Amino acid sequence: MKAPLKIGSLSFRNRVLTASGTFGMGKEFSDFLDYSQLGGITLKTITKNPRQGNPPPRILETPYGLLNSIGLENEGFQKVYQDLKKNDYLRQYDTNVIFSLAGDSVEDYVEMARFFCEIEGIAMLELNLSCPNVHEGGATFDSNPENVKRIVEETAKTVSKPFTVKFSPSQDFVKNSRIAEYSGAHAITISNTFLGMAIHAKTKTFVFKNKTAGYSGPAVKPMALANVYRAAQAVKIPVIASGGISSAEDASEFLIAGASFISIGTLNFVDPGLAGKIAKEIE
Amino acid sequence: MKYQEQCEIVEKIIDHSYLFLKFRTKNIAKNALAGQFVNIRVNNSFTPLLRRPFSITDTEGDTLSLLILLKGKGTEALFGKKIGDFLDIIGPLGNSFPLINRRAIFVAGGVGIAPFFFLSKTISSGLLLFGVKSKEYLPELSAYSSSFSEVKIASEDGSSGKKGTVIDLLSEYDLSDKVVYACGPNPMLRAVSKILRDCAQVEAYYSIETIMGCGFGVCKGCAVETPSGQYKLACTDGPIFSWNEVKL
Repeated sequence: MKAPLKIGSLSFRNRVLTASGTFGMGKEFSDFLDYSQLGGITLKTITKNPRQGNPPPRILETPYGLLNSIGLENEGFQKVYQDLKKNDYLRQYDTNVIFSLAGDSVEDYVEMARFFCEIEGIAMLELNLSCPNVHEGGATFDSNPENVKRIVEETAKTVSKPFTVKFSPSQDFVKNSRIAEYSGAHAITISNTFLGMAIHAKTKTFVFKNKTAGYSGPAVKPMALANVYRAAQAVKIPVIASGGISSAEDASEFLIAGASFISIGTLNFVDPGLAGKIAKEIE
Repeated sequence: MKYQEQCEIVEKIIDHSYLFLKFRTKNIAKNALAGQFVNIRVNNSFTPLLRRPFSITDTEGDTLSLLILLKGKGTEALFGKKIGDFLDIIGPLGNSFPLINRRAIFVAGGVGIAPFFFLSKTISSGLLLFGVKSKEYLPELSAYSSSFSEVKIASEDGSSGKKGTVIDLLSEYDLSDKVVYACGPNPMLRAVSKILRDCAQVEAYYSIETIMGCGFGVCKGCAVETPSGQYKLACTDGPIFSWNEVKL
């Protein structure tokens, strides 16, 4: 069952990673966590253009879960790239830094991937084809398999570092995983948040301006396990699993389902030291 | 520096809808400044899933005190805790009240009094204006009353102090050359702003309350709109904002 501790040519200390969007740009957890205990950390998705994010409310707690409609708030590719060129603080982290990015077009992905590969502190990329709450109605790049093929093929041709492709569970991620594999991806990430919604019954209004929101937390774990199992059956490249992992036992379940690596996501908010504890326990 | 610590409850007092909890901390209390907050995991299950943020009410050596109003699932769980229980707390979080060399007026609505006990230790001889619904919502003040030059209370039903709101109290003062520190529900802060707009030379700072996720700038769930339509985060840009810096 032991999958190699590698993605492409990149070696990992262990199988525990953090999920994009739950770990900031890397600095935020340094008081809580020794990064050298982790296999890797995934930074917040950076988009081609700066995004100021959605109006509040942006989060809503549900039983065992969390709905979010953040809107990919970030400073944008140019600013982040220029800052990293000047000061590559990521180099100081004794772990694999996975840099997550999303474009508005196929070309954006390839261009951004090429630029960020120049940054020494970045060990690997994540192409986020799956953010459900930026485009209206939740439409994403991975809703069209042709996009997946083109983005992955072009990126594979252009960049020298390994990359994973992150999918939405609302699209045909099994088919997308196969396409990503034969188009040259080094790993796939299953998955982004699930599509959710919240409504105020009293006022008959939607809680979030975008109506739909990303759903995560322990509540989604059984669905995520099934999805990871299905994707792992379909491809030979490593599967990075995420979805409500809150303990070493949860992490083990995903590894048994076929994942090679696991990402701690929403639970980073609840217990910022959790990823380190899980890494120690599953050793 | 922020800390995640298992903190023991060393004192617990229930006073109507309020709960005073005192914790022994390793580093959190020693490093806290007035206006900062802590984010507490109220239990080890996932209901509720998220931590709950509370203004730091006081610190003394390594002890940390919080004033908590019974509101929902999170605070209900805290009311059930016993002396000797340990809770997972992260802090100190957020920015602190700026210290301005002017006569201070503290404007508090309900549990919004919480950060002012701590602040009154640094800025002594400030005037406290405190508005509550009724006398049942008036927490025990005697331990702190000497830190304020004067305490004026207003209650909506007239059961304590003046009948009316804290805004009625505030409107009796000339605010020019003063510094106003306010904490309370958003409608109260909006009413304070209305008064401030008519004053020249006033400085004012609000401690604001929002829905919050992580408390340290990662989830970006606690966005607050600015007058120019941008967003700031209550947890890391705040919770203390200059009165005209955010739209409430």
